[in-house]
Parts: sequence; structure tokens; C-alpha cells
Amino acid sequence: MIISLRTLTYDELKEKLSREDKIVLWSCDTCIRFSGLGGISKLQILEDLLVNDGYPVIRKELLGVSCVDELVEDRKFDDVKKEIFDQATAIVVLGCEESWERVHLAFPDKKVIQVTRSFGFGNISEERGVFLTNPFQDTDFDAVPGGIPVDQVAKQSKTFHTFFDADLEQPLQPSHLVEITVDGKTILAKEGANLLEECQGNGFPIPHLCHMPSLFPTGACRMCLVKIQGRRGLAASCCTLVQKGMQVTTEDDEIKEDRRITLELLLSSQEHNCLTCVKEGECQLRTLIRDHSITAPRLGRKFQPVPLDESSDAIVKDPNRCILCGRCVRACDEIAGKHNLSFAHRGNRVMVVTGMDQPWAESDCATCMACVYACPTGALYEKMLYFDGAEWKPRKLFGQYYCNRSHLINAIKDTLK
Amino acid sequence: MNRTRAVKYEAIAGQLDKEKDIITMVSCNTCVRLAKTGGAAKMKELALQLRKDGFQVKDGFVITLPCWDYSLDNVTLHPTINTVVVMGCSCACANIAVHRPGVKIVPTVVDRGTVVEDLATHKKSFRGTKR
Repeated sequence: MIISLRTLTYDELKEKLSREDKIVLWSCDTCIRFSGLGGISKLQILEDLLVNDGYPVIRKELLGVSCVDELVEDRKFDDVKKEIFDQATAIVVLGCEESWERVHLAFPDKKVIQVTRSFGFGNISEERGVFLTNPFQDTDFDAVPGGIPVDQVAKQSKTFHTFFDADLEQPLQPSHLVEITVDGKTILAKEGANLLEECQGNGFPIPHLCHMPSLFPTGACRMCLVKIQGRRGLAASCCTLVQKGMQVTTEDDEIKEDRRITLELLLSSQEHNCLTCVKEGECQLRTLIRDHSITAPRLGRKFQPVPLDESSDAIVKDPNRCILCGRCVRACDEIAGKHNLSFAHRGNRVMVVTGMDQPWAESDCATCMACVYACPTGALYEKMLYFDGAEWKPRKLFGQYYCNRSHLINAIKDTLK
Repeated sequence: MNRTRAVKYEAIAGQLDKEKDIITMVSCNTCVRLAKTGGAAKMKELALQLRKDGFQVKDGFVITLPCWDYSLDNVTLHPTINTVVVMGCSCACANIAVHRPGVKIVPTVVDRGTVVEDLATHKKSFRGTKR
């Protein structure tokens, strides 16, 4: 992975922008994210900082891999995004220098602001953090066995391995906070923000499967239903915006029963055998099933097994474990920008397909893995293989999958603190 | 993305001992696969060629990101293995050296660094690495 560190302070960044600019914040979701300087959470922090200071941010743009030409170029021609990029006057790139250069080449008429410097290639370790092992020729660092820790690289190069919010003397106070009541307790939440995320951030976890902060909410899974006083029925909290004075109930007997039935229906509609699934302890469906004390499927199963698609070099699709949450479809649309995944067929035959329902390898996939990281179950996972024997035959490798990496990211965040 | 170039077969074979080296192969399935210098197909090609030439290639692994230590947890070396042929960049080799001390590491690719191409003019800019 590429090791990049921040070169600009927050004040220097502001000097490069004007309040008349229409700003797009752009981030890669791979190396820079693991360097602690990118990803959806950092985009959100930077948006909050700039909006608080009166800079108009018109879009947060997250890319699976920002060093792939076609993914960057596609942004210019995407039906949905084209209008926004046409309006934009400045793009702030949270990515490596290679990313910045690609964005700069793709949008020559915009002010494309580079906030990082890349120092070379390195390793990422759960225990040791991030290390620079093979520096670029134009840096002052030498290749050292075992690598140089990023904080040391930052110190020697007078750059920063922390994000912009670390520059502030006082923590950022989000504006537009309003009082809402959640389960009888009054909390402060950002007006117009996503109710599910605000509840979660204030210590009221709401079960969900189809929601991801980096994706547009669709309310497909119906797990995040809550009661809102004055509204009829149950509302999907992921699709509800915070309003002043809202009174929300996130859990009672009726909601619990509703979620339980949803989970039982999901279990009965597909094959969810955890013993043969790569998702192991990271499966969000399994976590919810355990949380709701479901021990065995109560409803009869009406399910025809479908063959796996193992045609891709990097991704395996197992439709038998798909819960049709649509996260992969949205990730391919919004993060990859490829629109390569979609739903096909009707009724109980609905499934996620690649391209025009062709094998994965023949579709327009850029293998950016955005769909794999989005999948909450074992329906999409990276291909890892073990070969042996006289004919060098492959076998699936069970073990530590990158798609099960949330604990690793947390561990790495801790080492970067 | 780390662009790599493949080392010639003779140079790889020259670093290996037919009698002493018991070999496992490890390939990256990300940058190196995209650069067409690694991945399952390339690994099979090299493994079978090495076997044909009398080298003791026991098995092989294709893993997503050998530059992450979590990914290396998937590589369980047989007790007889003393050599790892790495179809991965310098980061993969560095990681294997740290986590599998004592084994001989033979890289099959060399880092080129990053390459950015201006799609309008087809001009390429390279940024090389020290190793």
C-alpha cells in the first residue's frame, strides 16, 4: 500500500479555498483510509469543518480505488455525478499523490487541491501499525528492514499522520444541533442528519443490514424500523432525517417482534450455513440473529440453490447467501461508479447480477472490491486460493478475509492515535 | 498502486537450489495481478515450469494483500518449507520477512513505483522507488 501523510494544515487548506468556491471533497477508500487520512468518516469531518467555517461543500465523493484511471474518468461522464462535477470549482483530494494527479488530469479546469505527500510503499500491521518499507527515490528516507513507522516519517518530514481535526485547539462543535428524545432520553442531534446514524452516535444502536454511511439510504432491509411519535406505523430510521423535537422509540416489544420476523424470513429465503461461510464472526446477519435469540429457522425454507460465480480472478459471488440488501449494487453505482451490479428477475427469483446477467469475469468490473466490502453477509467475498498436488489444483482458502477486516481497522486506528 | 515488472525466469531459477530448497509460492491478488505479473494463472505457470526443471515446489497461496499481516495469517507453511517464492512487491517480501523469519525469500517481481498516464496525450509520469 502507498504511505501518504498530510502536508497541509487546516488553515493552509482554507487559504487555498475561497468561500465562493463550490467544493467537492474527494477520497479514496483504500490506502489513504488505512493511513488514517481518508474514507467516509474523514470526508464527514472535513465537511463539518469547512461548512462550519462558511465554505460550501456540494458533494462528498468516495472512490473504491482512486488510482485506477477508468474509475476517476468515469466520474466525468456519470449521469448522476456529471452535473455536480460540472458545477464544482474546487476538488480537495484525500488520496495519495497518484490519486491527486489523476483527478488533476481528469478535471483540468478545476482547482484540484493536494493535501498529502506520498513517501513510498509500506506494510500495515494489526500490532505495529503502518510502516514505510520502500520509499520513493525522491524522498530522504532509506529502505530499512522492518520499515519506518509513519509517526517517525511524519516527524522527519515535517508532515502530519493525523487528520485536520487534530489541528484544532478545541474539538469541533457541530452546528445546527437540535434536541430530540430517544427512548425517553433527550439528546442533541444534527438537524437534517440521518436518524439512524445520530442515534448510533449517541449510544442508541439500531439494528440494520442495508445501511452504510458511505451509501445512499434505501430502507430495504426493514431492520432499522423505529416508532416516531405522531407518525403512523413504523419508520425506517436510515431514511428518516432528524427534526427538532422528534420523539423516537428504538426498541419495544412490537419493534423487536417485527425485527425477529424479518430475520426469520431472511433465514428461510436463503442458505445461511455459517459453518461453510467465509464471513465467520463478521457476518452482520449472524450477529443480529444471535442478538434476537433465534436458534433455528421457524419458517419452512423454499429455496433453490444457485451455482456460485467464481469466474472472476478476485471476487466470488455466492447468491445463496444474498439477502438482497442492495449494498453491493449501490457501492458499485456510488463508490465504484461502474453501475455493473443490478437486481434481475422478479419475485422470489430476484438476485444480484453482474452486467447483463453474465459471468463476473465477462462483465465490466474493475475489481475495486467496493461491493465486497459492502456485503454484510458471505454473498460476496475476495478470492483466496491454495494450490497443491501434481496438477496444481486450486482450493478455497478459509481464514482471515479482508472483507472481515473491521477489527483490523479499529486496531490500526488505535495504533495511529 | 504499485506497478511492478516481472523478473526473468532464469534469474528466479538462479536463486533457487534444486536439492535444498523446498518451495512455497505466495502471490498477491491485487496490484501484482493487475500488473499481470502475478495472480493465480501466472503462479501456476511459474510453479509448473519450476517443477518441470526439477525444483521442489510443494504448494502455493493466492492471497489478497500480502502487504497486510492479517493476509499472511492465511499462509501456513509446511514444516519442511524453507523457501518462499513471492509474486508480490517489495512490501509483500518485507512482510513475509518479518512474519516468517528464517525462510529464504525469492521475489519474482521488481517494483517500478507509480505510473500516471494522461489519457489525452498518453504521456506517462513515473515515480520510482529505492528498492
